[in-house]
Amino acid sequence: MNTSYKILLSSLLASQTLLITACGDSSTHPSSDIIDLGLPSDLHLSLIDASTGAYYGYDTSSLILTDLNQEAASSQDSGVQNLAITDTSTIGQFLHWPDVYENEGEDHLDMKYLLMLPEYISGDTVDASVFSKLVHFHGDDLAAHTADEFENPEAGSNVEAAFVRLNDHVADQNALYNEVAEALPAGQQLCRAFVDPYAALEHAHEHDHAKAEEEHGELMHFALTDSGRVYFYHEETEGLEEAQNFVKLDNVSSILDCSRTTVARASDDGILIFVPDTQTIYLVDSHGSDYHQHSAWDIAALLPTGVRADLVAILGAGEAHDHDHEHQ
Amino acid sequence: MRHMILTAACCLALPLASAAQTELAPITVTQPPPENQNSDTTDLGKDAANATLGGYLDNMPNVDSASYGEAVGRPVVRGMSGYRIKILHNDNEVSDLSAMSQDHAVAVAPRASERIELLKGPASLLYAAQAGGVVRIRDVLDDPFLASGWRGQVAGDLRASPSSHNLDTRLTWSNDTWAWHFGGLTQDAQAYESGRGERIADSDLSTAQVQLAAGWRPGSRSEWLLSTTQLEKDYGIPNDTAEATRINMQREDYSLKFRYDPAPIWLDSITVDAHYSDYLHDETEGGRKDGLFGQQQQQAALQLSWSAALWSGETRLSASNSELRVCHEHGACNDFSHAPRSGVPLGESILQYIESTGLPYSHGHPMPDTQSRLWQLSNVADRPLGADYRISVGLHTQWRELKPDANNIQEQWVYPEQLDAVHYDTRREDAWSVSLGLRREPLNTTPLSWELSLSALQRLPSVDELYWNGFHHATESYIFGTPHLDTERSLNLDADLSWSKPRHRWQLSGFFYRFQDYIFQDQGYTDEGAPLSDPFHLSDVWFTRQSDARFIGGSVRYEHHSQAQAEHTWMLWLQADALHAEQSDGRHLPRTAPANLGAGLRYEHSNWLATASLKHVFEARHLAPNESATDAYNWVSLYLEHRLQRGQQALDLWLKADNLFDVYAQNHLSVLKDTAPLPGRQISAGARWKF
Repeated sequence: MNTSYKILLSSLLASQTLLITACGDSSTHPSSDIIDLGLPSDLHLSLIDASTGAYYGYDTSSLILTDLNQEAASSQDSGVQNLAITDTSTIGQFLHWPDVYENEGEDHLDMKYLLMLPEYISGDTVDASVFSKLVHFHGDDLAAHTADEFENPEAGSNVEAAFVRLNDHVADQNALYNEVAEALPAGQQLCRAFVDPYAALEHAHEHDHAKAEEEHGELMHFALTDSGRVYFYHEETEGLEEAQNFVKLDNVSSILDCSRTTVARASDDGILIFVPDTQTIYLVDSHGSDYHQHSAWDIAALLPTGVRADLVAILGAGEAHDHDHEHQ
Repeated sequence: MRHMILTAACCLALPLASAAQTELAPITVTQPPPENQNSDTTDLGKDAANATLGGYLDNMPNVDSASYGEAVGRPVVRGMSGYRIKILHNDNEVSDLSAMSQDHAVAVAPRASERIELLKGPASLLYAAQAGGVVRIRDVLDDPFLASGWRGQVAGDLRASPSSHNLDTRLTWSNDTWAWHFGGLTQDAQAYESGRGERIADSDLSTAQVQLAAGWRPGSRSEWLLSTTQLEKDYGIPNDTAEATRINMQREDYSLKFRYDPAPIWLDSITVDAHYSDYLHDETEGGRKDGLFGQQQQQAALQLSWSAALWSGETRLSASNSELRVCHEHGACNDFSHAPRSGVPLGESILQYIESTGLPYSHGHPMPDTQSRLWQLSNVADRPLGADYRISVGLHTQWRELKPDANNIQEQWVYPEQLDAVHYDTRREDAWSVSLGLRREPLNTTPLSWELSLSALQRLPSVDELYWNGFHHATESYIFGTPHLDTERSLNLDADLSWSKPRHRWQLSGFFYRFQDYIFQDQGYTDEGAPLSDPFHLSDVWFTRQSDARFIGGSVRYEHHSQAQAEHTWMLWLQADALHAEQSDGRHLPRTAPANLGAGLRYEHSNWLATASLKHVFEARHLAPNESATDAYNWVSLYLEHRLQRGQQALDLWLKADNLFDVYAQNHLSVLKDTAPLPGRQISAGARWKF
């Protein structure tokens, strides 16, 4: 073998080796504000650290984590400026409000949440004295109204109508809570009861009254207990009936403060549950059969180091379908 | 991977000392008995349907490929699949998880090897006691000192539609003292089309492999070899999920081998081999890491080649430690971890499912982290028996300790003590195997030679056969292991007969394997006969069960050769394979290879070589309960090669056509036969330069 052959071969081998090794590591490093946890898309999460007032928003579609306090500080929009948390003593719990209102003869659902003051007790009637701000989307931007905008509503005003709808929701939640609590097995203490508001509205739209009553039984009633179990009920004529085995959430043995848990819709297929004790968001869903804990995400993977989440609000309808196990 | 390659390269880049001319005494290594098939990889590649190990061996008598798309093909030898076949890379076990599940590829690149051997009977017991024998892939690392000077190969090929390209290069230099080897391989193939012209989604694959080795002979009697092989495969799983299922596999091996030729006449060589292997593959669906499989293994082996009186043989003592870890968590299997414990009773969700369904369904990590320690002692020997015969004996014993650790499993999915108090207890067990062979040597005086072997083998159940309880994404199946499986026992009778005349050659092979406690996966059905579905993913449910079983089969091959001295030489061959596999109750075992009949012609003239073959695979009709039939098909292949020879160098230019008539064909052995039929017509061209 002559020298030129050797050089040719060595070059070929070296270049191939370099090519292979260079291609071996295909990982990418996301930019600091893009965090892909694999959460269901089309949702917005608002997260608050109650001890510091740190306040973050996370869009599960754009995967962008935003410091809402910074955004409020830099914004010229008063609605965005109102997001700012300046006083940690005003942080109590989130109250999710699926606001169903009529506009031009059609029902609309606008998911909102209220940051309640610490003295508010779940189930109590809401007025401007028990919350600090109401948050929802103004177009594409998350924005807030401060409680003082809702003080002393005039008779017949939109604010008064809003309070009526809000307190109707609170009353419905109280009724749901009592109904579900009664159905739970002995020894289980209900933390939070939940019915998907989007599914409920869809049922109300699609069926006439008689049929809606009949179909109402299909709406799944979710029950999170303080031991970290999730129970599932259908509403039958004689009351709630357990639909399947309970699901045990990972690493949850007891929940200290149920008012700071969150249960929200993730998609047509399931729900997201936030448990502050474990700093984890759980996805409980089903793919045509039993609900199960499908995934769990550690909050620490989302928020900056040293920041914890005491409250998490979840807005949005989520994915129309979870394709994870859908078959062609 | 890159870091490890660089590290290895630095280690290997030792100063190249000027070598004193020393002469190494020849080392006698017991050759495999002639009944074992030993084939040049280049020759196998000419007939190979794809780049998998099963694809390379598929045309051997009674060898099939358990495919799972184009990227996966594990050989099935005489009906024996999975753990019943041991795959070696040179002398070391390939520490992959290909035997665990149909979708896991064999972590080797057969194209980069020099030879592939099929060992069975007594010879195979040196490495393992498997009813299907041992597949040994040998490459330059097995003997880098084979010839002095430079030698190597550059080979590449292209396929137009669907496009693929392959390139492998190897370069070895050695003198009497030093040997260096570099090898690299890249393979890329786009998704293929079936014989109906349908593009098979997620059937693409890419493979990359790097090999580095340095050998040193400090004296005439000893030899050191340090080597590393790094392999990465990325391939799609052509199943029917809406989102793409993919597997990315990496295997990193490091080996240090020492061979010594001692003075005593009776001891020919001593070989000590230390080997470390790190295997990892992830399974993604829609880009989310839903599954992760990892195995780290350390092996050490001492092998003696000896001869005493009329006996010659090899004795091998090996020890290995491996740690297997598996993750199943949707989108969260980036790494392995321990599950937290909150103090609630373990396994309460499992207990729920026992109450509601009678089965311990789980949605957690499907098996405990498991440490396996294995000690093996084996001996193979043979001696002449009179003038015409040789007798051979193989003995193999192993002792195993399994330590399952359920700390990785989420607390609600830990198998509860109420159901099985010893479920995660350490298991210690042993297995003993023996094989006897008698061979009539091929002699000039008679055209007849034959080999008969009788083996009594024991196989310990694998870790996943014992502990797996959960969903497997890539196969879309729910599998229950059985924690108290018995050792699988088999009595294997193999007979091979050859009758050779200058222009005619007959080869007949027959086998009969009788199993006690044969371990297999059996699909579950409801009392009404409907397939059982798991409660989380609605996937088919499979149980790991044991049953007595028997396999009987054989092959016949006839070759008709032209005059040996003729300018134009040709050879016509006919071959037929058949296999019957059933449980003791008469029910057929699933995915049993249907019979096939082949015919071919090989023509050589000057520097030209042409081959044509037709393989007819019969309809698979002997079906397991609820198994679907697979239609017959004809497979026509052509190969044309022209060699340009210059001194010691040869440049082969070749053209190849597989499935020339573009027929629609399914592999009955594939779980994905419906979604991943065999490829339609594929035409490729390549060049191979050997020097």
